[in-house]
Amino acid sequence: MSSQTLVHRPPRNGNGSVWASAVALRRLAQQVLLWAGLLVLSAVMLAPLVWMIGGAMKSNGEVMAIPIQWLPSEIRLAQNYRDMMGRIPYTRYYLNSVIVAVFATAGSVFFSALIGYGLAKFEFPGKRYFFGFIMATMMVPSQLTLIGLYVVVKNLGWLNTYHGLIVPEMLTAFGIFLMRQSMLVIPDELIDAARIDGSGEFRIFTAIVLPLVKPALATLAILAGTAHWDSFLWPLIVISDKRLYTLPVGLRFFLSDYGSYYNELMLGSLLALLPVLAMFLIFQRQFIRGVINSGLKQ
Amino acid sequence: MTAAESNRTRRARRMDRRAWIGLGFVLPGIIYFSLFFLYPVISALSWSFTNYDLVTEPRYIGLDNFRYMLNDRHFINGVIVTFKYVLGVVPSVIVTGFLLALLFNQAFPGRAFFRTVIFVPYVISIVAASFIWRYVYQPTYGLWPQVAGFLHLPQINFLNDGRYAIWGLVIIAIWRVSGYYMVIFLSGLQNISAELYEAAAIDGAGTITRFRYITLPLMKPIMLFVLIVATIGAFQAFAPALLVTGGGPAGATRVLQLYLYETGWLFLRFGYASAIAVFMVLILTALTIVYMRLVKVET
Repeated sequence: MSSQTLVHRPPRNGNGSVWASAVALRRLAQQVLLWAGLLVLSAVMLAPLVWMIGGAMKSNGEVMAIPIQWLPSEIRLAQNYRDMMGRIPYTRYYLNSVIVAVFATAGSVFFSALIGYGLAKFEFPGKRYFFGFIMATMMVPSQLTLIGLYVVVKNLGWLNTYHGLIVPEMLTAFGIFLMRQSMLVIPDELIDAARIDGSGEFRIFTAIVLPLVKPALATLAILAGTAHWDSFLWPLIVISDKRLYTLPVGLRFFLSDYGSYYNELMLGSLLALLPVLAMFLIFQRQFIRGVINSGLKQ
Repeated sequence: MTAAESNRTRRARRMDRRAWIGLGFVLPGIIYFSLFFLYPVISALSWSFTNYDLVTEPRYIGLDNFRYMLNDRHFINGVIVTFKYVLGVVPSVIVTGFLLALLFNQAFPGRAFFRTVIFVPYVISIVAASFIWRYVYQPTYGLWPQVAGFLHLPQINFLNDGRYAIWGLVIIAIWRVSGYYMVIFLSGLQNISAELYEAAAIDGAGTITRFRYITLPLMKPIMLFVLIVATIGAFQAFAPALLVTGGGPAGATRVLQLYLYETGWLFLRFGYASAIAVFMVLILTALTIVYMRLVKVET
């Protein structure tokens, strides 16, 4: 249906060349109109981001100048970074975010694959119930788990620890489901052949199964990495020790303590969102496929 | 013992061993979901009937928490604000997402570029997006008052005017997630086979007829899914309310999730917070059932 709705073909009679040029003209006009509309829409979508980047470059005086100063007089990124570092240990927050995202993503990918393999390629009593239970966890809104989860973590003595940040948010039903689905299509003969060759079960998993599901592993890594990097509510409630703040939480307290320094807040936000934005722009296809998969899990 | 029998017992024994191995692979998941899902959910459900405060032992108080809700004006305010937000966000993102998907389902030069641009806000973390929009909405020196002045729009103060603050948060959500729903709808549209449209066109069906009798019915499952997901997402909105407006002015943006957070982690009333969580889950379940009925009735 693609081009038909855009171009209405007039009847072919009489002078062909006049018609052809009229069609071309009409098509061009439609194209220009469409582009104009999309350019306006794109401007609306990108304006807040451009405004943030501009703000990150300005001095604090320029941010609050009246009348408004659209462009920074000089690009003060380095100076703003130094000023921000004077107020909060930003690099420490960044490091914490990297640690949490890396370990949580690795754990999520590894354990989801492990559990997904068990569900896809083995028969054992109660398997169907366990799988149904995992799927059911997707239907329960997070409010209900949040309070209980906090108390569990508190009782384990995990408040204000890295593992308290990482472990309770690590595994998701979707991750396990994705792994199971991608492993179902691996031929059993392949696994049996490795058994006959005398490979251990765990070795079969790491050396044969995992390499076959690389695309699914990559999808899960992208989704889990983004989710953990952006996570806000969980770190906010389990961490009160400033040295363990992740970026979102650290910036939140920057806002409440130094709320008028919008130039520094914008710089901090910009640096915080760059990794995810870069990953999206580089792995756009995988990123969007992952988003669609996680959306349409039912 | 015949050869066949010995073969069978050997296979049974091997299956047995295999079953244990399979269980071994799944075991981390069983432990994980028991400890970090099942136990927390059961705890929260039971605490909703207690006065648990995290310090002293929870004491059973029956339905007192739920009775208290009816007279708690902060809670009632939270329900109203949350419903305003959900009603503002859900229809808007579905309509914009669907229209964008219809547009981007057609071939035109620059399609990939514009699709990327429209999707980009979804990639921005909700926390960064909240800071950006707080800066955009800043009275006098923000981007919004400048644009409003330039286009002769009313100078609405989304941060400090209680009548409009929640709609300021709605705008942020529309900006952030429209591209996401566009991509979801687009994947659905691309699954509709082109042959259906061609066959209908041969039968003389026009664009509108084809849309009405092919596109809409086939998109129904995705519509239902998006309706549910968008509602749950809007219901759980937290970061923008906390970071853009701080729940203010005067509670005008204190959505339920923010009230739950304050009740639990600021005032340590975990029994009552659990009851609020149970209430939210019941509402969401009810809405999901209503949606399923609605969409089914039409088909």
